[in-house]
Amino acid sequence: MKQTKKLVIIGNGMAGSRLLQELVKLDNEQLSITVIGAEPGPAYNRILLSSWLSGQVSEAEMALATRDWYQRHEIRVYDNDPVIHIDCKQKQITTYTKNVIDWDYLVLATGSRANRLNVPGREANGVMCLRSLQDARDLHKLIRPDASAVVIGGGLLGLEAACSLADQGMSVTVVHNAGWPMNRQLDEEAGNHLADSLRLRGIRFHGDANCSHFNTTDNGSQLASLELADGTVLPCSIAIMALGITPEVELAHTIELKTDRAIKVDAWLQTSKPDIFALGECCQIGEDVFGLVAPVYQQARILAMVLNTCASSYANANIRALPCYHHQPTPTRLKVSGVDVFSAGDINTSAHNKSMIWRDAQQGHYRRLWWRDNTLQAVVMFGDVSDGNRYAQLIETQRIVASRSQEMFGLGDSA
Amino acid sequence: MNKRTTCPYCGVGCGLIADPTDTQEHIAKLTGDQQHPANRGRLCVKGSSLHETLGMETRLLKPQLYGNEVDWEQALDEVAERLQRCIREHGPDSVAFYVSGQLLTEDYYVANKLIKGFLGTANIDTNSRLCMSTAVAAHKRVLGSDTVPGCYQDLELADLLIITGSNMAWTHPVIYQRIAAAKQARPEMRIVVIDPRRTATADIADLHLDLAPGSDASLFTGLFSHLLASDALDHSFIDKHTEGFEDAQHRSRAAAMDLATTAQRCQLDREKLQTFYDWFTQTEKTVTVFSQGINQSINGVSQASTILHCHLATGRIGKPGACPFSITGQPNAMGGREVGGLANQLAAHMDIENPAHRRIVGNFWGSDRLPVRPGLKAVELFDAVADGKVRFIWIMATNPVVSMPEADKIKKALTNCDCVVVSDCVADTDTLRLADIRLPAAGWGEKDGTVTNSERCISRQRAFLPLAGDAKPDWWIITAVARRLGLGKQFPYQCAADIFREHALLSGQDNAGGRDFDISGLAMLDNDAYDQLAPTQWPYPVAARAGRARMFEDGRFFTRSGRAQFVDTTPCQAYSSDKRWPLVLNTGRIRDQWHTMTRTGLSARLQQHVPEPFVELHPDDMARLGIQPQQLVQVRNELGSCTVKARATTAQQTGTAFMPIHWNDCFTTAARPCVLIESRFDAISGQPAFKQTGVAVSPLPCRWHATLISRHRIDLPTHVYWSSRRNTDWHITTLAGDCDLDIATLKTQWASPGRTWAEMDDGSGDEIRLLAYDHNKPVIWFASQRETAPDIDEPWLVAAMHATTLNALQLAAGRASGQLASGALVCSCHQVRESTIVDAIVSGCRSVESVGEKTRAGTNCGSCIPEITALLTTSSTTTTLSTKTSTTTATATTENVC
Repeated sequence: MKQTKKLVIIGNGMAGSRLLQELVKLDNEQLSITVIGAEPGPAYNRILLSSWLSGQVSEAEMALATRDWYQRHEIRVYDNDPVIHIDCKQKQITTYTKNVIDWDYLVLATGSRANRLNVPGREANGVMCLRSLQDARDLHKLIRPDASAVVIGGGLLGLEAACSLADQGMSVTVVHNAGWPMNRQLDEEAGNHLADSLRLRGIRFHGDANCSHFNTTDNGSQLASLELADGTVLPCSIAIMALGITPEVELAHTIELKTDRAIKVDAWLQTSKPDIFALGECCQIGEDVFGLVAPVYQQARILAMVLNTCASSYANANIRALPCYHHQPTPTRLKVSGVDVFSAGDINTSAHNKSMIWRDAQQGHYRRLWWRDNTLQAVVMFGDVSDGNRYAQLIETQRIVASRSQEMFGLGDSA
Repeated sequence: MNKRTTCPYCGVGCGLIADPTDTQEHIAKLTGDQQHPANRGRLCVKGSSLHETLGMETRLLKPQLYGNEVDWEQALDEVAERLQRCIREHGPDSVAFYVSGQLLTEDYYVANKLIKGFLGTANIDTNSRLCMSTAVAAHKRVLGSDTVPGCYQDLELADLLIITGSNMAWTHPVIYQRIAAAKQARPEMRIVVIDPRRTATADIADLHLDLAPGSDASLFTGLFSHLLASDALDHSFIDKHTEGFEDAQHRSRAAAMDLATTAQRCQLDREKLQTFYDWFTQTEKTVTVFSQGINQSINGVSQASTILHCHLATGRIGKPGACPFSITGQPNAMGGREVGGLANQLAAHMDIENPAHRRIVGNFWGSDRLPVRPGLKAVELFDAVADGKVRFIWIMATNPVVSMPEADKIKKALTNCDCVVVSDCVADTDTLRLADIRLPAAGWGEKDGTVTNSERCISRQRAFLPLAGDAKPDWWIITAVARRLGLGKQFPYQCAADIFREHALLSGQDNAGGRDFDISGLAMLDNDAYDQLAPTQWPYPVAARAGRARMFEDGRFFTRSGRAQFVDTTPCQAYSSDKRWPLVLNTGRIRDQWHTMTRTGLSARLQQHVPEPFVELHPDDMARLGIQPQQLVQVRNELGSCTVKARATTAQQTGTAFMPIHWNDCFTTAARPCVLIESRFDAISGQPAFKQTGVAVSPLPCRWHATLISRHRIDLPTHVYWSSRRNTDWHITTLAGDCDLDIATLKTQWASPGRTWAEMDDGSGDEIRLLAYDHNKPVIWFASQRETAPDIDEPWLVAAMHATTLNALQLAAGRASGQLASGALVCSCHQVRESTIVDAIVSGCRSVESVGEKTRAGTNCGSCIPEITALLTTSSTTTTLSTKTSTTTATATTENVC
């Protein structure tokens, strides 16, 4: 006799919805799936928020699934209804609207929350993050073509947001606590190139900045400017905080799952409690936490197999025999101002003992390769990113190349 | 309109047909002349590339006085004034002309007539002193006249062909190809190559005698002894047509050069030597071709005379397929000899020290001022310049700062000389740099006159292009100076034909068959007939109907008695080594270059065969000296030093080295082998010994090696070595240095023409690439590395730089994506590289012919056939190996998959 196992997934964001898709592919009739989302509506692609803001994609195009799709695959969905309690003994969860749902296996895909600046004036109207579709909608209402905006944080998301605002005709300043934008992914020279190209697009870059407070209009409710620690005042009606993310681990704490920076899971995404799993931005494997989509998708694929095996086995499923998660450094690609930027590997480690730079002032191209002897450790490219995949592969495989310079010129023996 | 003309390079004297397609831009199509008897349409790689050398870019286009461009009037006035003043103040022997086998006979004749006839000195010598004067002296001593007895056909008819001291596969490729064809048609024909090096010429040899450097005299003395001992003599010929044989016998006995002694002196295998002697003894139709290996020696005349003796003793002279044959290096060395361009000659094969000859010539020229003593021979002449005895020197069409022994002494002598006049067709040579007065001479293709090749064949060089700039024919320049000296009546020439007629007439003056050189039958040619003159072998006396292929057929020689002479050929001291300079340096030509590269240096494809100056060493010596192949080395002795690339070859004997004669200060840092060569010369001929010089070779440590490609010549970073050549519009420079490079400094240095830059910087100077752009066009390409210069595909890169379709990153790679650099250029004619030929061999070609069918390599001039043969040998071995390797790989792969 078939015994159905109840799977509850908390979180219907990028990770949760991808897990659903992977599970659907496996088509396991012994799993009965429920997904619970805190945000209203079906899952959407958070990565496209900036594009939506610029009017490049519609909301429909952002959707990752339709209500019809959930129905067709017999997935129960609770949206706009965050989970407030997990009972591990009864194996139940309770939602905000008091729905109580049984589970045999629980998956935490709670994602992360945007970091906020804890300075005076942060409550003013116009100070916001760009994390959710609701954020984007709110922001959209505030955009005025001739007004000024400040983006706090010169990382990938901050720059994307800045470009969207600039596309709408706003005068945008990016303030950043390091000397150049994307300083985790780019070296100084590439970062300066990027800052230059932003400037050409009308986006000012204000580096090495510390935010002091927000000034408000006379009535105190509306944002007027951002003031920096050095006294610089940047007038603005919008301030977007793009300061990175913090894994959402509150629920995990309530049930005493092991956490560190995020929920600790093994390479099969299993938490410290055998029936509970976690993936995506809320999880931590070894020392790695996740902010990009590629590793999360890999996790979804693996976790789907794990859950499939668990559901199919009567007892003591040996999930350790399944393929497990392997961390692969994910290259960063960014296309801003029509300029391609690429970064792969960790440019800030000391694993390399030689770096080579290519500068083409004629074309405004830049690339830098970091080597440990003849293995590639990291790469940064600005302007011409045509060899990106090849470099990413070299970093991943740690293959020994015959000639470092030939790799630089795209003529390596792998080419 | 098509014109027939003659090649300006070696003494083979090949005919060409020129089709000028754009006379304004000096562009012409050139093909081999099927009707010319020397080549029957064939051309070597140098001849096939002549069209690449006609451009005007490197030409001297205006006269220059002390660095300022002037018109001809001023320049000629100054030459005449300086010449007269020097004679007035310091006497006639304070002036000298130093001329060249590159001059046409007419130019040569006028120069010789002016100085010997009217300036009161015989101080005219020629660069033929450096190559042919030994043969001249031997011919005159033994045969009574400077007569080459045979013709090219004899080389094909011989049953035994001895090639000694000549790498004719490279230096006279067309004759070599004719011999190779003859050998293929008649495989029983035997070829012996005598050379310390295993040269490309040895490829067709049945026997290669790799004798010790400088032991040629012993070898031929031994041969002569063997002929006596084995009584392989033509007693009848000796009795009827020679003198001094008994003395020669005595001397031979005294020398006691039996087989064992000879083998030991020459460090030759006894059996090999015996084979050579046996073949010589047994073969009636024997031709001995000799060239610089014999001539350029302190024993040159002795060696050449011994060769002539061996032929006299066996009666092998003046017969089809049997003669000694001196082959000349320059296009008109023979013409120069005919007009008397050497200091110890007078004119038309007459002697300066012979009063009767002086009378004939004096009467003919209308001068009573003919010098009674010979002038200074080249080495002495430049010594006199150095000593301040010669204070005015006029150098025409030659580059003694590169080609004379102790070249740095020559440089210094000319630097300090009161007045140096240089006539040349190019704007820059090591010698021109020292000239006070520079005169622009007509170049090949613009000149009109005659040359004589190695088989006494007079051919026309015809103008098929207009004169470049203000350039004038050499005869015109000399005539114009003569007129300024008040000699208008004696120098009435309006055209080259006027001079040729006078020269021909003089050769028949009071001759009546007493002198070998008589072309008086051509003295009546009108201008049209001169213009139409077909290749003609001299002698051609009045009433002759054809030229003569062979001389001495009747056993009559041009001595007083009519008999050939056995002369004393006791050699002087042989080369002895100095342990400070333990390697014996030999010098010579390479396949694709000519002399000091003023012309061949303009051809990109000729430059690619061997792009840099080198020294060749035996691999064992290199290992002992700690030298890697292609490493930069210093070749030095107490006279000077050269910086060149080391090349390993077993063609070289251990303890020996070889350097090409071509490179000079216009092309590289320091690669003139002549700076190392002591001014030792043959006591009789005055010809310097270029072939045996003691040197030491040591690695030159460098911090970086680089390749620079630039539109224009630009300042170089601090370096220890550079070598530059042309490829289309680009200058390709190879560089090395011993102090680190810095990109910022390079950019400052090249701020003009570089406006924007692309660069690869590894922060340590281990590897640098730097490209400069000017108005979006690449103008400089530079790459440096630590160990060796970067591996680039030059043809691809130059084409890519030109096309400007690729971005800087692609250009910086130096080669096309997915392509390996295609190796050294082997076939210059069809631009076929080593990799293509190796591919053909790997795909199954097993012969030179099949490689030719597949790749076209070796199918034009054939100069590269020896290299293709070598590749066939090495690549077929490698093929087997690589097949094995790939099998192993395949197995491994299968295992991995399983």
